[in-house]
Amino acid sequence: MIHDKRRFSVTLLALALAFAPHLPRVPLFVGVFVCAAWGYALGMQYRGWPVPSRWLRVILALCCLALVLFTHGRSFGRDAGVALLSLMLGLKAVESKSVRDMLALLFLAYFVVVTNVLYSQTLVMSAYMFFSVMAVTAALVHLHSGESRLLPDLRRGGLLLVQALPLALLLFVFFPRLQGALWGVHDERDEGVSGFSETLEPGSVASLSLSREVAFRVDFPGSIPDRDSLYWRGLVLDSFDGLTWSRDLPAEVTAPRGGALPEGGVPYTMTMEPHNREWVFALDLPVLAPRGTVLRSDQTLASLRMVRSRVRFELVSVPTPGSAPVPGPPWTALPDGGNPKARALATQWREAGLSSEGTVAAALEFFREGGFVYSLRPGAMDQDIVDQFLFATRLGYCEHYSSAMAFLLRAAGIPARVVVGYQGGEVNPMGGYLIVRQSDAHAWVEVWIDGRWLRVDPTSVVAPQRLVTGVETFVPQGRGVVLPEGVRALRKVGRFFQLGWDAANNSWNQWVLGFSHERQRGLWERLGLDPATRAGAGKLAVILAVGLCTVLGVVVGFMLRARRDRRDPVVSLYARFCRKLEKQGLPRGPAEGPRDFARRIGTLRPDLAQPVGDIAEGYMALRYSGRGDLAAFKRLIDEFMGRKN
Amino acid sequence: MVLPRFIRNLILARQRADLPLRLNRRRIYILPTRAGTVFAFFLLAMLIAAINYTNNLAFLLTFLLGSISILSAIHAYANLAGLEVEAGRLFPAYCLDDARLQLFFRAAGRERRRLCVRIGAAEAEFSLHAGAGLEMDLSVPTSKRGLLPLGQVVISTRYPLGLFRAWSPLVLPVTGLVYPRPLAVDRMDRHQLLGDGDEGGLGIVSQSGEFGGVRPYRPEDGMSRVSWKASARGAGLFSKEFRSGVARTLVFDWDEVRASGYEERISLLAGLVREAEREGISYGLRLPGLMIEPGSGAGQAHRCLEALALLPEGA
Repeated sequence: MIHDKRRFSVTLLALALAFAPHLPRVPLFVGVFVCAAWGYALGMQYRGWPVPSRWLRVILALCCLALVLFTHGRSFGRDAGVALLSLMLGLKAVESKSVRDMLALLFLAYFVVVTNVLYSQTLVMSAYMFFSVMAVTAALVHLHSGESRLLPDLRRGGLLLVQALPLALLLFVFFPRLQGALWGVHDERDEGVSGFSETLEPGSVASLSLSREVAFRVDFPGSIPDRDSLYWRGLVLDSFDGLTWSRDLPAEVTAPRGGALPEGGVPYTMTMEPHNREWVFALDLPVLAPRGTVLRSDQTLASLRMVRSRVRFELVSVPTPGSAPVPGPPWTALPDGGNPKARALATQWREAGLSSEGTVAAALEFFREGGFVYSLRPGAMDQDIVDQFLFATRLGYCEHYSSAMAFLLRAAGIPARVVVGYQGGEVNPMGGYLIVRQSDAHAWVEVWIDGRWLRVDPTSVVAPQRLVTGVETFVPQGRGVVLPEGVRALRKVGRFFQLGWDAANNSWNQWVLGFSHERQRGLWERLGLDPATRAGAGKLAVILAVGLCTVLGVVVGFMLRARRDRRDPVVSLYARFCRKLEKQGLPRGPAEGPRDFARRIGTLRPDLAQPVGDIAEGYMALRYSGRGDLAAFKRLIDEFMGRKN
Repeated sequence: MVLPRFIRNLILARQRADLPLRLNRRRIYILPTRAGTVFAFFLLAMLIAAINYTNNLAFLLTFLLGSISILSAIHAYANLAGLEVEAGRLFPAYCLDDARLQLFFRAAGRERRRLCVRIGAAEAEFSLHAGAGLEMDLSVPTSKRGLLPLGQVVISTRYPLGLFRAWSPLVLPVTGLVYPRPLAVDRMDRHQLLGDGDEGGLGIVSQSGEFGGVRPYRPEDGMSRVSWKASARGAGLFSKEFRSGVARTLVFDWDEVRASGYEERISLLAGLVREAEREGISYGLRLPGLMIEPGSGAGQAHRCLEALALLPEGA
């Protein structure tokens, strides 16, 4: 049947649309197999290629299973599942004969669309998923409509989707969310996530400086603070082993403080991209720990769960540090040997009787006057790296400056620590929020003076513009080529669209992807509902039921609305014809059918017999046989209405 | 499924409908199909995956697909609701032949896609534009002569997604007539069957006529006498005229027919009527307690065959 061929092609097309985003993700052999199987299935439909025998299909299925197990082995998770699903799509297409098989294929296609979101949830991908849901729905409609044309079925598929959206949103908002997963989700995201590691060594921050990837976005309800005060603390490093700074001291957890906004506190919302660690970057200095996080004694925030997906936190920070207890000996500890020149310099300061502030000032002065150059490519250093940097190369990036500064201060007997995080950020004027990228990664020093840990940023004295314009100033720009004005303008336009796009993505992330258990609870509380109590749960159920009924009622009303404005064109054309005859004194009798009427006219007015007979035949064909040519009928009527008599 | 008779009667009473009728919520039932049930499991799997991965987009897509499937039930209902069954007619048929059921549907308000009308094993599909009407023919098998009450007619649809089936079972006030199975009679053994010549009610009055010409059609002529060749030239219908110099009238008599049994006698008479009608002879029929005066044409044949069909069973 030609119709079945057509329907099969449409089914396969919808399937291919749903599968397309997976193609670059699945192993090559899977992609090749699926495409080949679909090609063969089309050949079966159009060229009459033979259906592969059952044992061949079984062997193929077993081979595919073995290959997937061989490729993915022990880590049978998302990737292996998708590979297996893809192979099933290929095999199922080859054995598809009946409408039921096509139905199964289309259900699988829906499933494929949903598996896509386990990989990507960007705005583009989401839009594409909605598009593919519509395509699969239209294919389902096509399977059931008996239409030969595709357009009405596409329209019906679109109508279903549009009508379903409000209902889906209602369920989305009110369907109770759980906290956490039902069972362990295999961690497959380690690769390809950029960001800090737990340690700081020369080169670890510089490697991030070229990445335009977004680390997090921040929304301030008030005005955005000045750029040079935007220090996002992530991790405090307390130990130095001669090469690497790391966090070795146990970080005590202070009780998470909730409650009122503290004096001078700046509230903001932070949306972090997944980095697979528990750190939460917060503006100097976080004071309240939101739900799901703890505040550590070094005033850094940590999430209770690894940040594996985009997550939102409502944070409050204060600009001035509070008092801290006298730090113990670990905060001045250094390795036993190495870096003699740096130690000598520190000893010199201590013997000169400088106070803590004086030592800090002397160190900053040393950096300012020492001919240091800020560079992203300082070259490799192997031994006594502090000495090499301070007295030989004098080329360095923020981690070199902060590492050396902390070393000097500790050597002078002053408690000091290295802080890694981000500095600055780009304001998106369209969204009114701040975008902080990996290239904003930074490291600085905190010194314990007068009962407080104060921030000191040695980089700022060497390269003050680093804090004002960001790291881009220092990124090598294709060997000093001056870009023509036109290209610069074009880049500006590009930048404009980039920021607009980021704003759209951010809204999507905030409103749809960021809708978590916590935010749902927040929304319910704002509506005066507490689902924990019986009354609250009852109210919630009532709201949900009323909402569902309203939406469904509107749809039913819309679907059942009798379209009086769209009268049958055949009837109205015929009525015009009868009215004209009536005006000429030839009214149609109340019980007179079109054939009898035409015959009577034919005898009364033989000159009209021919056109009237044709009209009666046309009318009867259209109205009673369901066949006939409406356009030809309309021409007949128009011709008749144009007659002089 | 075997239901107690009174429950079946109750259901049938609810399904009884006068024509014309419009399908409404009292008559339309809707349930998920097997595919719909399978799809529900798919949705459940998607929901579990969404919960497990706490993936909001997966939630949104699952809810979207769920809503689409719920709405497809409304679409299926709307595809059926308001459909009008304007008229139904069951044409007479000889026993063991299929009777033709003609139903006339009209799509009120909206267009209708892929409706299925089924009676017994016979099934037909159709689609209608908004406001359009359509005649559907279905075959109803017959097994014995007499009145043929039309069983349950089911109009159903799975449009648009096949996840739900909306259906409306109807018992229409349409009854057909099943003529007796006619025994084949050919000219050779007619005399043998009817007895030894022209005794009793069987008399040869004249030879059959020859074709003479055409004259304007009169309703009593019957469709078999219409001269289509002449009518096609326009201006009305014409009937073929036979030269009536010699005409022949036969009266088939119940008591005169040689048959071995009661039903065979009826079949034989039916065969004679059919044969006489086919040859355009004027004929009559005498049955116990009933006399049909000689005549010809489709009306005459129907009268005779109806009388035979309605004869009581057995003897």
